[in-house]
Amino acid sequence: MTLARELGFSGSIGRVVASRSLKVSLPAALIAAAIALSAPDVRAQPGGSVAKPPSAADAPPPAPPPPPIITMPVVKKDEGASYPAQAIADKVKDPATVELVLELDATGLVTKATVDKSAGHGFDEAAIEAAKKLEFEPARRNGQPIAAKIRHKYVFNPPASRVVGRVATERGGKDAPLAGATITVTAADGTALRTTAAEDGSFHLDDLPAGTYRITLAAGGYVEQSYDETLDPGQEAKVAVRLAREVAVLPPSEKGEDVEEVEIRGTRPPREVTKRTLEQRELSRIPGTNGDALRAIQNLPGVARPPAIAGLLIVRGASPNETNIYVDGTLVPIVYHFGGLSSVIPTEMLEKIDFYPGNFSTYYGRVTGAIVDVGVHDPKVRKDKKIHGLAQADLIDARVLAEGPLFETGWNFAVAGRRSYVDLWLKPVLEQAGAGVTTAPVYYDYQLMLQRDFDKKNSLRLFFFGSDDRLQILTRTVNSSGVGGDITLGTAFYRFQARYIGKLSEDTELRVTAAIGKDAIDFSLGDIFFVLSSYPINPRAEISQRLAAGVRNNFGLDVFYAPYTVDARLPPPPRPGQPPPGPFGSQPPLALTDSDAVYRPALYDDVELTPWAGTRLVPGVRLDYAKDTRAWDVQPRLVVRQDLHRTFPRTTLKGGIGRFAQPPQPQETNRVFGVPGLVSNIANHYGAGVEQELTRQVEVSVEGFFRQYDRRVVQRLGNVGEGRAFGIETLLRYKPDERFFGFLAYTLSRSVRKDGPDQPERLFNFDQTHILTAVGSYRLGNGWEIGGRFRYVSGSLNTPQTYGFYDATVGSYIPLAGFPPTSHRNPPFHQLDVRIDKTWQVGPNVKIAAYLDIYNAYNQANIEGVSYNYNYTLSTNASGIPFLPSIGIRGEL
Amino acid sequence: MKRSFSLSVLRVLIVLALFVIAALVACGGEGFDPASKVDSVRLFVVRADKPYAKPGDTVTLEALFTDARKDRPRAAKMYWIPVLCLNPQDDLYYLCFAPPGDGGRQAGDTQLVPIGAAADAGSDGGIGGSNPFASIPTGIDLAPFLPQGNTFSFRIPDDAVKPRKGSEPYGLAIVFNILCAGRVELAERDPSGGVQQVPVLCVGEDGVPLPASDYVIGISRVYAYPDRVNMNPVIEALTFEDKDVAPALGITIEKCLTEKERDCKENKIDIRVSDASWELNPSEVTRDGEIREQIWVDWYSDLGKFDGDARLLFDARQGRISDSEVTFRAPKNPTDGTLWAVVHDNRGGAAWITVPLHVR
Repeated sequence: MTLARELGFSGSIGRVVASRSLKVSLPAALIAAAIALSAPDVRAQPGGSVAKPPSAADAPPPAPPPPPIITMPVVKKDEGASYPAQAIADKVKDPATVELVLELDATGLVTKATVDKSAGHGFDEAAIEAAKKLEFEPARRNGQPIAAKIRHKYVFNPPASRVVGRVATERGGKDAPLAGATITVTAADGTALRTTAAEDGSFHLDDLPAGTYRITLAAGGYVEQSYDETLDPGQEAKVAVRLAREVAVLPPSEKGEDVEEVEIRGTRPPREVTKRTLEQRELSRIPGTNGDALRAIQNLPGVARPPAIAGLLIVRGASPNETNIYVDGTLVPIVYHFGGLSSVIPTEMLEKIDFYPGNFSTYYGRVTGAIVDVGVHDPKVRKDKKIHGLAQADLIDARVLAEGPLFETGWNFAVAGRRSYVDLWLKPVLEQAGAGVTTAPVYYDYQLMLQRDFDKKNSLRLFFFGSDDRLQILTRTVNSSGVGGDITLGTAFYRFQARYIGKLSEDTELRVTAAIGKDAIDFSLGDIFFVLSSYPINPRAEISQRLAAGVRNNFGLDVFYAPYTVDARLPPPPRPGQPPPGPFGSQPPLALTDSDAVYRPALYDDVELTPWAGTRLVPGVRLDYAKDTRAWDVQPRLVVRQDLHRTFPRTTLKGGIGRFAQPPQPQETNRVFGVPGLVSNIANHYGAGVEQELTRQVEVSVEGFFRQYDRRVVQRLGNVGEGRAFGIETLLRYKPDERFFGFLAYTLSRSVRKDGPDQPERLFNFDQTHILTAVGSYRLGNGWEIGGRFRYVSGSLNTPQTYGFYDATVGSYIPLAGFPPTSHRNPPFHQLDVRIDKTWQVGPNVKIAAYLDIYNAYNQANIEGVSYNYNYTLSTNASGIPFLPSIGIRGEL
Repeated sequence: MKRSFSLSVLRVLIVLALFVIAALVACGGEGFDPASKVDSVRLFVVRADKPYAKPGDTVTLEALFTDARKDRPRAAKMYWIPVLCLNPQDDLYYLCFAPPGDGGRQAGDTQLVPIGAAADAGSDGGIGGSNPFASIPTGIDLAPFLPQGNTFSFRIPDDAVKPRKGSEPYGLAIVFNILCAGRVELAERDPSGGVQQVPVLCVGEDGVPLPASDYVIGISRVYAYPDRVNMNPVIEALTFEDKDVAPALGITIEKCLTEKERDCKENKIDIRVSDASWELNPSEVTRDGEIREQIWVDWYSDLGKFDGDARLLFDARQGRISDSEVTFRAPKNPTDGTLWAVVHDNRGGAAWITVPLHVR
């Protein structure tokens, strides 16, 4: 109507509303002008007046003829315009207007329609198509039908979307409808629509404009679920949700149990073939882990059992240094205090742990094995808006955590800290063993987080965290391993991480994470030492753009820059199979003093394609540059998922193939300790498998994997190694509910290496043929929970050593190492761990919990290695950790 | 360097530190006889008169050994392999005798120098990568052709010193010896046995290899530097219950009178090494200051029992260790024996003292 107003007209000759379009005829005066334009004897003038033709006579002018009577054309038949499919595909969410010029004949039919104002996206074509079918009562002059030329406007409003679905809960192992459940759909501007579920649990909300909504499903006594959904014009989103029962609504005897165990996750499919996510309850309650979240990963399929309590992650036959561990996308140098005592971020701060055993997306790089990404949750703010906290202590350490809103600032905070007191009991033990202890082993870690949601689209989080481990011991004995004298170990790191997540538009999300920090190591043993200071800077950004329905592009930048200074005096790194050097080394140590910077930028892009329902393709490529190799590594990757059955019980086929590059480690390519000029290790991943829901709680997955190594760096020899790892891993999982969680994981695998083209193939050091892990935990009621973990794993490998030489200069026997290495396997490992938890609700907001975690409950003497006598003529098996109970207590308010 | 020093080296260091702790708190021995118990053919040490030699120096090696077997069908003798292995790749002793290729020696790296020629040959005395024993068939007793005795001399070639990565230039000369109570023969090489195979055997008269109790194959390393020296440690005294022991008289000790061995009287034995022995390692000046030698003592006896095989005497950073003594428990029966104390520094220096033990 704007044009009409500008021309000084008002009113309209009609308005017709079609099913999917609104067409408006122009004002009558404008049409009159148009008719005048079209009539041979009448010229329309601006303003709507009609000019008289010039006359040749000069006689007194005759009386002016009466002005013609003009009748405007009137729409007689209109079928309306359809909303164009292209506009739906293009996700046009705003109304569009197309203005046409119509030429009508004297019968009122449209003889020609031309676009005067275009709107694109197929609107023009739709308007013309509709206009051709218009029929008018013709324009008339003095009652006679005449041809006419008029303007005509079509306004297209996007078709409405709708949400339909069903809400249920589990009763007796089956889904039961949750009648009366409330479904709230909240638009980005805060507008909310609500409905309730019918008797059969079904619901629908219609006439929703296209856009992004938060869909919240709630029912009294059930855990509320929310997630975001973007609706395209005309789209019908289907939602099937099962709400878990809150513990608080259980019978009185159940009160006091932990009610925070249910983890809500988005439904967006992964960009990886296999993404395993452990939920909060699983993280903290797996027996034998002392409640340490990161240890829980070691129970998943594809992960080999590490020696004793070591915190190594050996995934699908890959070396531990082929697995990177991130904290919300930021690489951290260590995750365990002293290599395995406890993780450097307390379990209570973790939201989830995502584990990618292979074929991970282009978001991750620089390793050829696996990825662990630890998600730290934002500070929790409870309904009472007060600060809450907890304190926990066990035999190893004590920690505290407090979190809540930061006054009325809109910011939320979390602060936590931990200190070990191993030193209190280990120092006397070490001194009894003859060692002089200056600093007994002690560790700290600390976390501080500030977070604020500025609106529903923008969130900023600042996270500072770090760790510090140190010990200093003087050993007066000397053994054949070369251990003795003054031993100092100090390791520390901190990171300051800032994370911004913003929705630039309904289809575009920007995620920026930047971290700076410091790593420091101070190690000395006798006359060897290693002192390092580095200042890693790790910015990364990803922009995720929904290009069209079923097409999302993720483009990212991942930079790692770390200036460092190093002062080292270390023994030469051994070649594969090289025997130990004897006391204090038989060779002059190598020395290095250096300052340099590590620079490894990377670009990546992948496209999440859903060409049709149930199919998902994620092709991508990652480009990594390494300053030390001066080369780019191009790594194409592809992931495919196909739902054979989209609704319950869901069946999904999945597969992936990709190239993964890992730059050589610094000591491998260093001019002193390694071989300069190395290039990146390469591994090609292949994987295929199937996921099958058996019940609402139980699902099973089977996946085969094959990893082929090329250009593998062999210490002191260069890129001469090869290798492969392959196997099948299965997971039968009962997802956590109000009573039980558990899983049964089994992996059959083989991992081999060649240390040179002319070298024989050997088993990888950590190769384990069979890995069986069964975990279960059950809530008995009254705050009691009991769980167990049983593991049966092929024995670890060792390289037999026999009587050989005697280093007469330093006085130590040098064994002959068997060839090829790792040719002997220890007896199978099997062990049961048991955990018992008890929680007391001592007040409305106060809980006290205690646990007993029994490691190796039936005291199995598992063989962890072989011990030799002084000249390697006799050997005996060395057993692992015996029956070891551990207790802890925790208070929350 | 995403996997920066802090990521890769740290893990190694942490594991190493854990092993240290485990080694300290673990029960040692697992029921095995300790290294300090001498009841077989034992080579204790080979000492060079010049632990750090200069090119052109003549170095004399002196071996300390014993044959403590109860039955000695043939006395053990010390034989020296008269080939100097010079600068094997990466200082790896087994690359002296590994065949070229297959992960073994590479052309131009290791020099095998016949000792007789070395004295005069200098840089021309080497025979490159070829093995001088390659033409000798197996099954032949080499003992009559090998130098015998507790000393052996050789000359460091003039061009022994080579540039090194991460270190000052140095040369490494390796001499092999075999203390054998039998015949010395060349071992037949297993093509699939890897590079570390022992090249010589000690066999009985019947050609069957003797047990480990009857022989020791020794490796002696002598480093050559243009201007760096290292003196052997100097033993000032052996002490028994804080009193100096006269080497000729030795130690007289009461026999164990208790039924259980662990209840036997503990006798303190220690060794005193001069402060001057704790030499400055000239290359080891760090940001934290200078580092000196690490010095320790290995204890051996053919009777009784020590509570440890070795004790640290000087730490590289902390200096003299105040309580370095070992305790010694006598056997239950009167007897005579020998006590050996061998002092090492971590740069190839060594010294020893041998005293008689009288149990009354």
